[in-house]
Amino acid sequence: MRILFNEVRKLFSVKIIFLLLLVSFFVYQQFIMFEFKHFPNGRPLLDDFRATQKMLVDYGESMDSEEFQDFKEIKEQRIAEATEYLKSQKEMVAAGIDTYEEFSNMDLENVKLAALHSKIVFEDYVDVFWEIQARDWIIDRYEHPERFNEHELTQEQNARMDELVESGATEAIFTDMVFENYNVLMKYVAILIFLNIMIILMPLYIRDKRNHVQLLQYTSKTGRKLFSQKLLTGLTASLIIITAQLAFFFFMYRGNDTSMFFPLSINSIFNFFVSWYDLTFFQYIILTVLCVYLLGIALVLVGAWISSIAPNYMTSVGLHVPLAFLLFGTGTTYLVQNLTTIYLNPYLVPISFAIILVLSSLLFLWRYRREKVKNI
Amino acid sequence: MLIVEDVTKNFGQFHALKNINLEFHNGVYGLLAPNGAGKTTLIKMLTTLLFPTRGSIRYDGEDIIKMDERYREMIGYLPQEFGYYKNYSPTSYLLYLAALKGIHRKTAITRVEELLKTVALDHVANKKMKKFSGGMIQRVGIAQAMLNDPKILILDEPTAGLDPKERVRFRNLLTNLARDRIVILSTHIVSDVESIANEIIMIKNQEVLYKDTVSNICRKIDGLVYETEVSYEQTEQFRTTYLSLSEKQENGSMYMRFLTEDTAKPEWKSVHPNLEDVFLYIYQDGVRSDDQTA
Repeated sequence: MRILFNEVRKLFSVKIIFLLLLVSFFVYQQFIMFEFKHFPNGRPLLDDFRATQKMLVDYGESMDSEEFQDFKEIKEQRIAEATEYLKSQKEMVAAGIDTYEEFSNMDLENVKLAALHSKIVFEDYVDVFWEIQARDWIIDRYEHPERFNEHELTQEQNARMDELVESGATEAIFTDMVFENYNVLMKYVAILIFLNIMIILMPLYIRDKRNHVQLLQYTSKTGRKLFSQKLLTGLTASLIIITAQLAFFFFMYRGNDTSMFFPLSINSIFNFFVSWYDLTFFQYIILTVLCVYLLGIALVLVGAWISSIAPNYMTSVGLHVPLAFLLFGTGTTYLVQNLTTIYLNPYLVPISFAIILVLSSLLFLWRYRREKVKNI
Repeated sequence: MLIVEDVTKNFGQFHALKNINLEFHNGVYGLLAPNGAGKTTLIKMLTTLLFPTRGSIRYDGEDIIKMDERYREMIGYLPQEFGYYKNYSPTSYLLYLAALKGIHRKTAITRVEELLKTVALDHVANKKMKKFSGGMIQRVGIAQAMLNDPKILILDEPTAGLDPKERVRFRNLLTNLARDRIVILSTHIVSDVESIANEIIMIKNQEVLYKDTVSNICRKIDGLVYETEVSYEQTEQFRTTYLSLSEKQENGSMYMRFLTEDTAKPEWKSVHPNLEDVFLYIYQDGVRSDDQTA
């Protein structure tokens, strides 16, 4: 335990901690903060979000036909409010636009009318006009569930779609903007985590090889067992990083105020994502977290292998480049985002993880066996 | 007892050591050979960093490779290139190594304090090593080798970087330690081992040439070493005729110590050979080629 503690302490040197913080700050500033600051991103997404939140408060987790009627009535009330507003605007009345129907059918080719339209919607940002638009979209989605199944799908995919419609999972008051926002955020957070792991693992073996400490380590009682203990060190350090990064991320994510969507099925008609499994948004979040941990563990095995074979830091960086491309691109797209999507094979994720973990373990095991008999 | 039996070490086609047979009991053993002769290879095999191509090394009858950590916990090793972390203090670094050596933390803390006093580094015990001189670093290396109170202490070029005072202090320390343990000291500096080694091991052409006491080894060239005065003009001629062992200018001429198997001339004064004379005699090919290169 003391050895593990000492080795972990060596990895978290002041310089490395500073570098990790710098990289984290940069990635948050460049990629992640935007998704926090601008969620929902503009209008009518903000209005969709507000309408969906109100639906959740008014109707609970799903909307039955009676509640749908109520939803439509609220929309009619909003139309009446919009009409009242239009009547109060002299320019609109003068232009002959004093009902919402007239407003929505305005000839926007007409420069004068287009200017008036733009003033209400984009200059004065009158909420009611945006809300009606958002409610229209929700009503359209709800009234046409067949669109849920409009892609050319395989027999299994069709069967899954039918199963979801029958079970009522599609009626969940969920929204794609929450799902998309989470997926984008998680991709960047995963990339940041993997980048952190690469940085922290780089000196794992190289440092002691380069400064000849290895000679003292391998002639001590612990001897070459230290090679495997260093892997444990790498795993511990990486788990600390993953946990700390995720904890910070979810702390920040609280600000997006999406917790009310946690118990809802992600297979909603209001979401563009369909899963092979009956998952709630919270379960999906747990699944992504689990996948980040698993990919992190695989990265530790590969990163440790690189650190053990690379003669210097430059070579190590060079070997990390293709790994980073693979992991940040394909890895996060298929193994962190879009998990269990119906448009990919249902076994893709478990099989990919099994292969990745087995191969990376074999790679390290091969290196470990060589190290045991290597001339130093 | 540590026994090296018929040990050969090859690196691919290159033969580093051939059929080495050695026996070590408690005492100081000086492993003496020029650089590149295979000293470090032998030492690395004694510390399990290298594995013999043929033969075996046994401690009390058991193969050291099979003994694994039971053997390593008995050895103390100072490599030729002593590695350390610049940002660590001697105390924190020795405690780090103590953990690897399986020494209990409380015991280690006391031991580290003692050792730092022994190597006269107690006043900088908690200072970062990045500001240390070569001699100070080497003393940290000596301290770490003794951390586990080893039964076998193996030191590869331990006096590199030490000043004369530190060398004397170190030699005295080794003499004390060697009473109840094996101390193997590899060096190419003859004075490091001449006064303290119970036995000297000399390696030439990848094989053990001598393993004997200093006096017995010196006896090999008894009656062949002389001293004489030579005029400056004759110096070059003298050097090419005889093996010059040491030279100094004195009273307007050159005072030369040399070795020859020729019949002695009246002006030559026969002297007792020392270990350095033997060293230069044995490795004269290397010495001469070094001179020519220089």
